[in-house]
Amino acid sequence: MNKSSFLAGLFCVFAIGIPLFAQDILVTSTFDKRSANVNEEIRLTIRVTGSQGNIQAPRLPDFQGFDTFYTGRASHLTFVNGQSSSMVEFSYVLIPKVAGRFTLAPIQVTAGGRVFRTDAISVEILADKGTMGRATPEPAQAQPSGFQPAPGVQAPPVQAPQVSSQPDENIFVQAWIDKEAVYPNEQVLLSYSLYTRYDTRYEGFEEEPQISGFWIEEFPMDRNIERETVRVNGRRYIKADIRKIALFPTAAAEYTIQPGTLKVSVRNEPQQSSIFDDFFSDSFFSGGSFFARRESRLLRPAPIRFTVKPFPDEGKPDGFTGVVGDFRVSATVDKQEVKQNEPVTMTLIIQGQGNIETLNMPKLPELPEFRIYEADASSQLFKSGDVIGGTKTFEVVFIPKQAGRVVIPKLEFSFFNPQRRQYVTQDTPQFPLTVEESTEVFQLPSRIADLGAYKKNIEVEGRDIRYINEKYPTGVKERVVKGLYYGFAVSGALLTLLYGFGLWRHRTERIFAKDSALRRRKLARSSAASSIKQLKRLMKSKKGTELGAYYEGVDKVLTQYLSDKFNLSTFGTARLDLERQLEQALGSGDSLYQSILELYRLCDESRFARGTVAEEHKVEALNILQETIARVDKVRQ
Amino acid sequence: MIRHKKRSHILSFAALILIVVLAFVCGMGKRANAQMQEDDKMTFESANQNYREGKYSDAIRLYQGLAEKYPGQGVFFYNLGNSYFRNGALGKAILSYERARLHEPRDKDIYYNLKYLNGLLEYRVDDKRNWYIRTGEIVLQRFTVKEMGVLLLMTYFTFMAGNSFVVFFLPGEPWKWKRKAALTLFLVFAVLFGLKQVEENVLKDAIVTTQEAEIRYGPSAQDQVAFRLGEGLKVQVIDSREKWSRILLANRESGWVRQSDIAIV
Repeated sequence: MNKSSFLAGLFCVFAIGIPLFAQDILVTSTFDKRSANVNEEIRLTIRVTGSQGNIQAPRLPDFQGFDTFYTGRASHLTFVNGQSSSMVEFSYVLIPKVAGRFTLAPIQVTAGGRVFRTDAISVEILADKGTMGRATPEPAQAQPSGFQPAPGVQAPPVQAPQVSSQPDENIFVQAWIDKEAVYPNEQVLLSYSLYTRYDTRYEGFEEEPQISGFWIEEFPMDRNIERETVRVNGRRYIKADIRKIALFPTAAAEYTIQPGTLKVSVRNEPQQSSIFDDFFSDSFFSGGSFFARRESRLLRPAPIRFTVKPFPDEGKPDGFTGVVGDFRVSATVDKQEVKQNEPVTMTLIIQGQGNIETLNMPKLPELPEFRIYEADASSQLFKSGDVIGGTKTFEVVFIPKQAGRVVIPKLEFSFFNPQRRQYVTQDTPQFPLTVEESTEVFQLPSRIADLGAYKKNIEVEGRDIRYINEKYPTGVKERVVKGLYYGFAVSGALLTLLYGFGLWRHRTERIFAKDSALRRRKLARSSAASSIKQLKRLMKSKKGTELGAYYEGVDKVLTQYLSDKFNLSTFGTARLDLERQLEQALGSGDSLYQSILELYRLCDESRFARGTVAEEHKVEALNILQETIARVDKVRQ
Repeated sequence: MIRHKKRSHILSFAALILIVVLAFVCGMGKRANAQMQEDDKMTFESANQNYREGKYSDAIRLYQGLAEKYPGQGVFFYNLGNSYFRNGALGKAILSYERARLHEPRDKDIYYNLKYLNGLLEYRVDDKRNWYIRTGEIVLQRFTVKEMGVLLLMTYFTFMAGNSFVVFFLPGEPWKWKRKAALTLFLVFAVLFGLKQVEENVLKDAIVTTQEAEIRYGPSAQDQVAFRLGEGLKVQVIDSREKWSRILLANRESGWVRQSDIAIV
């Protein structure tokens, strides 16, 4: 696989393969069964994990061939390694009306300000005994937007809808609330009632209500929507409550709700009053009678205004956090006799009517004798009449630090009861614990570590300057820095000299390589100087045999030096050539020239007539040699 | 054979250089050790004791003496800063911490306390300098002048050692990346060292030590007041006249202040 195809594959995995995953939010949908008979309940669960805050119950698309009912939500909050994770499940019941294989189109969920879609899932509906023989789908008025028949299944005939929003006194919708003045976090029930004199089919909301500033709970509706015949302005209507939403205002203010727009389809002519009860029972909300020509209508209820009052100050408990409703608090511990560092789990249950989702754990007092971990929280929502309620369960782990008798104190839970218009405070019982001494070292219990008790964050309680440094300075660092500074400075200077010398030497070598005569001339003196050192040693010797060697050496050094200076061959140079060169350089009348000739004479005499040269001439010979070198060096640079 | 002899000479020279460096390091150590007198240690202990007992004025006097005697030791300035702060002299405390930072440029406690005290200041100056100037200042503040000098000399030593090696053992060898890198490093540190010198000796930092200093458009009391600065604010002195200094703020505002109202870090 080359790089580009790998990247493309990676993109596909993220962009297509996991379409529902964005940041930490995951939305999934599941059926409890993949095949069912007609009229057999199928449970649909839409699960949203990782989202914080309020999530509205997803509105299911209009599923042709199915009756759908919202049955409620459940939520669960878990702490894992200091991070909380949440999961909310929305439950629905689907009742299939026709046989066939259907694919559930993706369901749209809004969470965390973003829109997610579930995967499409399939379900097979078998004809049951009661419906055998009439498995053909009923004709639909509009293109099904939710369930789409699988290939091979005959699609119902489609007729383009004609949408009309003209006022019609034969059909209207009323949006209303059950209270006009409430307290923050008190439930307000927003209901939608449809009044009609037509053969009517409810097709959902074209435009969702605009409700900001509220915590919202979709009210689970009954499977069979109740209908009743009512008189409005002397005319008979069929009335049906089609949707209920529990609203929990978050702050005191004046609110105006735009209730949105509903879509219905109606048969063209209004029904005669004599047949009211019959035709509604067939077609209303069930996708039922589709034989007549139908017309789509948009119905827009009037805006609703209401007031949210502030909480009364009188009698407000210190621990009141804005909880409104009617609740009962209970608590239990799993054991009351424990060992030191052994966990005790307290389960605290708050149940009742009110916004159960926003309940928080009652504040724990400072308990230095315990290590405390708030391990788990879960909630279950239910409907009680027209009121939303539920149960919220908190699990707290207490780990006693020391042996003896310790007490988990009572915890106070305060709420405002809007019916009684007063604050209520309920306490959990006290739990005395007997803690047996143990040598066990504290360890985070595996249950907490694995299942996710969070570790406490360190919180800075105050700020101040840091303390003085009480350590007397040794000065080592300063000394080392100073030593390095001067050491490198001196070394740098020495290296510079060395480098300069190297450069000079390199340059000289290069010149000498080109001109060997120059090399001999330049090095003649240093070469002679080192030989003179040996001659001086021989000169001091008293042995008669070394006198000859001395003069022989003087001869050699002088000849070598002059040969180098005048660029003559060392071995083939005749004395005559040397004398001629010296005569030219010094002049024949020069005393040194005469002395050199005398020196050569002495050397020859010493060599050829052994023992005849006097000792005192040795010094004179060396002086002549040194003077020659000095003079010739000046003449022949 | 001759080549081997030459090499041994060079190695001997290199060893000599190393010995020189080590001798300096050890020599300085012994000399400095002698400086640390036992009675100064007692004074330090006594100052610490005064601080612990809340006698901050006495602690200030003793720490001040030690700081003057050993101006290269950041710890005395740091403790002096703490004592000034406890005594309510915010400006002098910040001045002491800034002085401590010159000698202990990487001490986290000094930075923490400086940050804390700067947070308590009444006035705030927005830093409008370019990002590279701010970054450069942060880098330079992390080293003392001497440390910068050591780094510069080390890079010079490395560069010259490489050159010497080549000239003696590989004569005629062309410049390769190692020598180029050594030269580049040397030049970089030379620039940094130069900037550090400018920062320390040309653009001198100063702290406002009076409760409120008037900054004027000219170096006289007759000149109009441009703005006022609160105690503890850091300024840069860019010019001086008799009894007056021209200062520059991080927000690029400039003016003249009485020298008695500020203290050079």
